[in-house]
Amino acid sequence: MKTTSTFGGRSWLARRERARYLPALCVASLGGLAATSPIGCSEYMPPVTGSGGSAAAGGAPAVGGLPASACEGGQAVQIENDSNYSLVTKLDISQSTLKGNTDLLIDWTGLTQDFFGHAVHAPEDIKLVLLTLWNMSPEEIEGHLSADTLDASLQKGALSIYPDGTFTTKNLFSFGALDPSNAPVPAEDLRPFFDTTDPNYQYPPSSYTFLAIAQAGTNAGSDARMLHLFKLDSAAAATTLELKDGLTTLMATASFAQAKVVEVPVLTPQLNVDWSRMTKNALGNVFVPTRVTKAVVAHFETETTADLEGNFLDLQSMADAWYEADVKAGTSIGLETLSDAARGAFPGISEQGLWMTALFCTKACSNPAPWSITMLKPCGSAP
Amino acid sequence: MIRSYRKRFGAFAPKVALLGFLANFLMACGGGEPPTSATAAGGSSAAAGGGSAAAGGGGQVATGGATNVGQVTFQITASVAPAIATVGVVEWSIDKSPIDQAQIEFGRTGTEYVAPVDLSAASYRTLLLGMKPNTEYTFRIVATSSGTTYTSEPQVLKTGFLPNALPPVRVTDSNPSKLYGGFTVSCNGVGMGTPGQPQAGDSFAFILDKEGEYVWAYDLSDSPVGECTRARFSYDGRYFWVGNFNNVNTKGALRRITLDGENEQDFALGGRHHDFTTLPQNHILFHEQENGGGTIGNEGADIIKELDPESGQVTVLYNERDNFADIADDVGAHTNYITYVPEHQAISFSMRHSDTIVLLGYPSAEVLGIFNGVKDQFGLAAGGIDWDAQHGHQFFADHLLVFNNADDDTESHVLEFQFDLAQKSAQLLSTYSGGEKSIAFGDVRRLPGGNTFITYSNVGIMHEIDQERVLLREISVGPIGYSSHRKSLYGEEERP
Repeated sequence: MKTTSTFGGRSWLARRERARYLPALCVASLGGLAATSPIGCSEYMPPVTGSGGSAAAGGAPAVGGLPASACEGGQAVQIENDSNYSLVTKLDISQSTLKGNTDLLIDWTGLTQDFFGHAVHAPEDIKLVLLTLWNMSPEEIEGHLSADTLDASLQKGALSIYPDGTFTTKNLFSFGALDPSNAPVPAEDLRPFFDTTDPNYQYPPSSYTFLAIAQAGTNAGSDARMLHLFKLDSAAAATTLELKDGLTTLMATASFAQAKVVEVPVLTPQLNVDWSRMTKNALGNVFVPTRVTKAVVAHFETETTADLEGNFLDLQSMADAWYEADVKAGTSIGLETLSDAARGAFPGISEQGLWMTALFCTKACSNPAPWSITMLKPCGSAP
Repeated sequence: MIRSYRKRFGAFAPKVALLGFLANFLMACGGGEPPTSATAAGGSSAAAGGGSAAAGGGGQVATGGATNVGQVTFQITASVAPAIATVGVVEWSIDKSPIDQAQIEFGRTGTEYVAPVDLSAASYRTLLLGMKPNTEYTFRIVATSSGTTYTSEPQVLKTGFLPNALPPVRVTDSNPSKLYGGFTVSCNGVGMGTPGQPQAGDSFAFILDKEGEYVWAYDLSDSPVGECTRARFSYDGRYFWVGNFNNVNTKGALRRITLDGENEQDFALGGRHHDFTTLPQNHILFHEQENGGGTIGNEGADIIKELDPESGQVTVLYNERDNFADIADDVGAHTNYITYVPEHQAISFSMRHSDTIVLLGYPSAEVLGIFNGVKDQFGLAAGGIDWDAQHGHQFFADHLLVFNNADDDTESHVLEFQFDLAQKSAQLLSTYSGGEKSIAFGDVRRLPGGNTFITYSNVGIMHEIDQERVLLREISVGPIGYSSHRKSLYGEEERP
């Protein structure tokens, strides 16, 4: 069973954080869960009552591998593939056809709401506009973006403009090449990429697609707020590329039902979460352990897992406590290093409510969804 | 043929790690088995009293000291550098003197690398370079005293991790048996925002080993050299230098870093931009806009200057206005690449906007040759072989390699010329077109043995090709600056 949630005001990350990534979200799956039970060691995850689901952990799930798991007197909390949630994303990007061999006008003035449903003030918020060229169809770009599998080797180039707050339009031949000084690429150098009248034109629309990106940060490829696909045609009349509201929509289906719950000692912050054995992320892609750059532990006092799935975009805002730390290097982190926004230290998980730990790839990836989310369950008694 | 001057830095070519929806970041590892070697101990060897220890992510744990079981005693302390956890730091002593020569052999299995020991260093402190992250290495010290060689018992050191924010690397080998091997030195940061700005991006100087894996990395993010376009060793190999892009700006900077990452020294150099090179006396040669950074469309000439990093003194070697004032005034020099050319007791520099490369005597500052552009002295245009925009290049006694960005084409080219400096004649020997495009930056280096290493900076792709210009390996690492390639991480860089 699936439910659809609206974008407005919803986000997985806080707005400041979310702005760094091009996310996914929208339709959150309930994963077959009809209801959840009160939280406790023996009833942390409810049985699945819907079709197609599988039973969740009712007892103590295994924490395998390390010499001494957290519930056996050690500090190791091993994150495994089978303790991870699953996620499916769908990205829809509108397409247009523009006139080739033309000094196109790129206009992001009309962008007032990004594809998260949040307000954008273009002059202030848009820090970089990119025009990229790909050797693939629009559908392929959408598909790879949705699955987080876009192969950069198929990108044939990118043009950039770094707005300084004084303009929200710029002509194509004013764009530069990832140069923050905005030194323009000479028109004669750009023409080979846009001159569809040339019989030797190397980027026919049958094989190549342009992707325009308006983003909120200057880190090329991150912080996208709106996307648009376009092709060139000498016969087309349109000479303006608009980056405006509603050009992109996102959907996501998240499920926690299949994931094994991991036990950790109650009220014990000295735990070492280790993800070195992970091989697959929530999207089903390769999990490279050394690409994790942020770790989070979140607490939800009253929500059920169905609530979390149904409001996947709001996890951080829903959380009653949110502790995080950057992962500078390696494949593990001590949870005692995590802190909340008020710099309060992670105190260990309690016996009340839901607890989860999430791992993010925030550098090499732009999809903001966590690579892993593992539900935690307390064991033992408070020290 | 008179070519247009109207060129500036930039192009439709940079390949950004778009949106990060790039999951296929698998590291494909090529390369053969490491060589093995045995070092004969002429004298007795000492046993290790201590064991090994593992380093965590960025941490370090010392190995134990060695104790004597033979004629000599080695006292050994080893750890990984706190700042760069793939760098081993070994300090040792031996109850023999004088020590005439010493080295440390190390590897995963057998001897992969040999670190020379500086006998003047306190505690014979020696860095083990080139090790992979999170990997166990064995090393032993080989010291010679009065004609007798003493070898320590093997010691084990486990490296830690490098930053998780490093860009993913992908290696595709076509013929690994013909690869030169060695290490690739480069940096990234261009296109990732402006250093010092609130949302400036990550920037790293890094080294890849022969298998294309990171073995050294230094975080430049939010530093004065964060928008890095050039990273290279000092001439003697004892330091690592990085420089920022600073295109048409006033924030030119260089940073000198010790190879363990523990110490750094910054040099604020105003209008310096794009590139720098190293000189045999370990000075740095760089170019700086005469107007201090100028503005777009008003770049003017560049002044080539020499920095003595020990004193901080900067001296002027040459002002391009002396011979190229017309170019400087018309379109701006836009000097983008500078090299040292020992074969001609010279340096060379590239002026992009005029498609010109100049060979300049060093330290005479006499123009020895002007290649291509409106002032070409070698008849290139007359021969119909002039090029359109260039960055990286490499001079030899009678050969010149040029990374031709080729603004008027959909792919960049590597051109090889043979020239006669006395006769001022040249002919095109070969062209390599690898199907990639980089109008900004781009580099080419001939390797000992005849292979050529090519960097398509904007698209972040490097090609190693053989003498027949057949592709042997492609490395993809995302947008980078220039790069160099060297067999060893110790000593001077080899030249073919």
